[in-house]
Order: sequence, then structure tokens, then C-alpha cells
Amino acid sequence: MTVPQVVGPVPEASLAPVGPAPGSLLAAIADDPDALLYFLINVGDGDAQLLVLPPDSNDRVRRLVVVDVAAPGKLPALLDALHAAGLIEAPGTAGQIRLLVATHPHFDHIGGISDLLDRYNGPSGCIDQFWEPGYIFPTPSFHNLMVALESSPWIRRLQPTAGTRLTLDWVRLTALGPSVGLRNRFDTYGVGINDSSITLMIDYPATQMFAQPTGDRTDRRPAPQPGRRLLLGADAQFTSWAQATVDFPALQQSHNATLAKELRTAIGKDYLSADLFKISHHASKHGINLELMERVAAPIALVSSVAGGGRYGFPHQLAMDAAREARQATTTKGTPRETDQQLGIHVTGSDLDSGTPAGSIAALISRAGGRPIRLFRLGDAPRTPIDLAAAREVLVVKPTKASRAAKP
Amino acid sequence: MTAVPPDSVVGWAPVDLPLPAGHQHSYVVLEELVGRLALLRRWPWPAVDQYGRLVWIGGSEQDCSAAAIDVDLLRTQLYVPNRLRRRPRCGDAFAVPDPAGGWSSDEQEVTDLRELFAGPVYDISADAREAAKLAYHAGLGAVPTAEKVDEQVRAKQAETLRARAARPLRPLRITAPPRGSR
Repeated sequence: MTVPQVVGPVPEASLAPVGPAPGSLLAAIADDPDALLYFLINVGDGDAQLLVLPPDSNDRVRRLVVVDVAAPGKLPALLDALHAAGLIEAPGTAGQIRLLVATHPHFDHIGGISDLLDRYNGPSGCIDQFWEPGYIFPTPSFHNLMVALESSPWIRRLQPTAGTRLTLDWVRLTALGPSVGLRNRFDTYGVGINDSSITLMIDYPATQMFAQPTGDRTDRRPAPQPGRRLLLGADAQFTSWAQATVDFPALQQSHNATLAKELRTAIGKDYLSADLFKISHHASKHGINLELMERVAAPIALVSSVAGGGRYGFPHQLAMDAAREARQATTTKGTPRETDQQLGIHVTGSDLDSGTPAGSIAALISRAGGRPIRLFRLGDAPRTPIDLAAAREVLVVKPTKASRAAKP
Repeated sequence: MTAVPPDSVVGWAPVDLPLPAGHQHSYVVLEELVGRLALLRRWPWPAVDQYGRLVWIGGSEQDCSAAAIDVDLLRTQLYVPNRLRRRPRCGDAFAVPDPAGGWSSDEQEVTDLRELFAGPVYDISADAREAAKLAYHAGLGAVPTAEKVDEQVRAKQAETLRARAARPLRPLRITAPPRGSR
């Protein structure tokens, strides 16, 4: 089968050079020590994601949220590298992984979780919570995971549905899917496994109040902040996103402007809008559509897949075009399309125009709302470990007049 | 990988497909449907440990091969001729005594299902799903022993097992691909 190439090489000129020791990523973290870190790891057609939480307000220790582990080895190697850089405690430390999420039980999402549990699980309680959608699947990965969990009573388990929220100090996670309606159809297999995916909205900073000492007392004040939002789409497809648009309605509904205004005042943003969107299902043609991309309106869109040519043709032309069109409407006016780098669209499996891998993607999200998200490419191939010192920052390419005009 | 001492396990025998000791069947699952393609994955046959759990010994979870096939072709060659009334869906599982040479590590597409299954094939989807469901529930809560389960429940379960054992699975036949499908 011949698959058309839908993702071009990443221009070397769109990335900054590798910085001097300890490297540009670690230097950026040192400059912004309260930042939230997000890693979308290059594992080919599969998902492995790591959130390194900001230092905890009580003990200044960074802890972790892991969302899917497609393959053994690579994520643990990254944790070792982060520990060696002094960013996290030794992998396996009690309470280190605040949350482990298996978005759904496909091999390319949970194939490395047993390895992770074998390394770090234990009565010391490295892993605090485990979330999975409750979808039953008869593969060895699923069975091995269940065996591991059966003998790990210290891990708290949860099957979240849309609306479930967990706040971890400065960071809030909200499940957007699966909806209760989908969850109740799992047992009859009336829902496809991809649509069982746990989709997550991450808010940082989530804090909406602050304490203000005034004379002999301290007042607590509301502090609505324009925080950053990351939407991690797992493998959700049309059915799941359709339910999400019901559960999290658009706020600009012309038929009820008053309600829309009140909702906007209450929550500040559209429920689904995000600053960074990990596009669902490796940008398959069934994962997203233009309407969803316009509503999310994320300036940064990330895809976890090979850069075309894989067995399934991920990422698909239709999905990539929807992502591009949402950032820059060209189909009506025939405006020349800007590059993916200009549009903020990045694929983990992309190569540089020099032929080497662009690699995993790291995002540094500052606590200060006005600072932009900084992206880095790590230069690793799917089966090679990440070298943090090799990070190259994605240079900010200013949008043109045409793309600004297209913003939904 | 989950380390299980080999001497503490026995081969898994589905209720609907009693298997002789020493068999070398493969365990095949329809893992994913992407557009027109179905992805099949093949693993070694599972064992059952001392607690009754399905396990893949020695890290054989990663010891899998795969193949992609047009989903309509899969349906035409396997589901329709055997009157499987459903469309192929993720989680369908098969016992395969004689896998053919079409399996690979990089999910090559085949144009004839007989490139994957050289001999008989057994549809063990019901047993496989039940085993997965039991594994799921065992991980969530307590696993009581049989004597602590209500007598009525045990009697009902025994009746179900007798009925299923009386109707063992028959091998599925695989037809040739339709003319011109290549």
C-alpha cells in the first residue's frame, strides 16, 4: 500500500541550535523553576506522555502524572534522565507518580505499563492513583496489567467519566470523556474501544484564590487567572467528541445569549478551548474534524505518530488538513497555506530536513499566564532514549496577517 | 514483565474449547480497526497461574506478531461462511493451531486470510472476553473462594458450564477471497 506523505520535513532553521550544557531545555527550566513540563514521547504510532508537575507548594518536590506508556523502557529512561538532572526524586520514590492513566487498553497505549509497574510499583507506594476507563479487552497487555493491579492494593483505582476532576496542588485534571452515556454501553461492546478513551483537560495554574495579609489578619481573595490549558485527546473519535460537546457545551450559542454570557462569566473560557492539543488517535481521519479543531482553537497541536507512511497512514491527510484549516482558513479565499511550523503543528515522528529525527516534544508551561508555552524537540528516534541535553527549542514563528485573520 | 514460575502454571483451556495438554495454539486478537484495515495480533497461548489468572510467561506479552487485512475481506473469508452474525470488532479472539507465514513484526498487510491461518480456526471471543472481564473484576475487589459463594449461584454456574461443554466449538472454515479482490 502506498501512503502519501502528508507531513514534510521539519526545517533545521525552525529549531534553535543545541544549547550549551546543560542544554536549552534544562536551562529554560532553571529560568522558570515553577513551570509545568509536558513530554510527548516519540514512540512511533503510539502514546507515552509525562507531566512533570510544578514543585509542590508544601515540600517543593516535583511529582509526576503519566498518561499511557506504549512501550517498555523509554519512559523509565526519561525518568532516570530527569532525576540525573536534579528535577525529580529517584524513580520509584514513594508518592512520586501521583496519577497513572491508561486512557484505553490498546497495545499502543498500555504495552509498556506492565514494565513501568514492574520497575516502580511496590508497597512503598510510588504510584498513588490509577485511572482507566473500565473497558475490558482480551489481550495479554490487559491481563498482565490486571494481574499487577490485583496484587497492588495500595494503588487507588478510579474509572473516571466526563466531569471527574482531580486537583494536584497547582494543576487540575478534568476528564472530558468518556461520557456516562458511553460508559454505560461498554459492557455490551456498544462503544468502540477508541471512544472509551479517557480524554483529559489539564489546567495550570488551577489556583483561583490567594491569601493576602492585611495588618493583623489575612484575607482570602479570588484570583481568576488566565491559566494555560492542555487537552490530551488519547484515541477519542467522533462518538466521544460528540458526547463531549454535549457535556461541555459551547458558550456562544446565539439561541441563548444570556446563558452563554453567564456561563462565560462563571468559567472564564469555553470548556473545550485549549492552548495545546494532543490530537486524538495519532491524527487518524476519524479522530478529529474541523469543527472540533476550531472549538479547541489551540495555537499548538501535537501529533503522536510516525510522519506518514506507517501501516495506517497516520497522520491522515484529512486530519492534518482540518488542523491546518482551523489555524488558517485558506479553502474559502485560496490563501497560500503556511507551514506546519508556522501553524504550530508538530508530529513526534517527523524528521528534520537534514534527515535526523526531530523526536519527542517537550513543552514548558509557565505559571505566569502571559508567558507563551515554549516547545523543544529532543532529537530521539522511537527506540532510542531521550538525551535532555540535545533539546532544541522550537523557534516562534510569528503568524502572518492571513493566519491571524483566520483565528476562529 | 510479570514473572511467573513456569512450574506453577497450566495451559488455559477455554470452556468452549477444551484443549489437550501440550498443544501449541496461538492466541489471536483483532486489536484495532483503522479505516478499511483490521489489525490482528498473535501471541503465544496463555497459561493459568495458581490463582486462576491468565498469564503470558516470561514476558511473552511483547513476543507478538501482527498482520493487517482488509476488514471486508476478513468478514468475507471468515465471518460470513461461518455465520458469525456480527461484523468484525475489536476484541474478537481466535485460537489458531496452525498459523501460516503471513505474520510479521511490522504489521504487513495480507490479501488472503489463508496467509495467516493455515489450518482450522476457533472463535473463542466469548471465552476470551469472559476471562478478561474476570481479570478486571479480580483487580477491583475481593476474590472469594467457591465455598463462600451462594449455593444457588454455584448451581447456576455449573449448569451454564455443562450446557457450554455440550456444545464445543467447531473449527471455522476459511473460504478463498472473492475473485478480483487482489
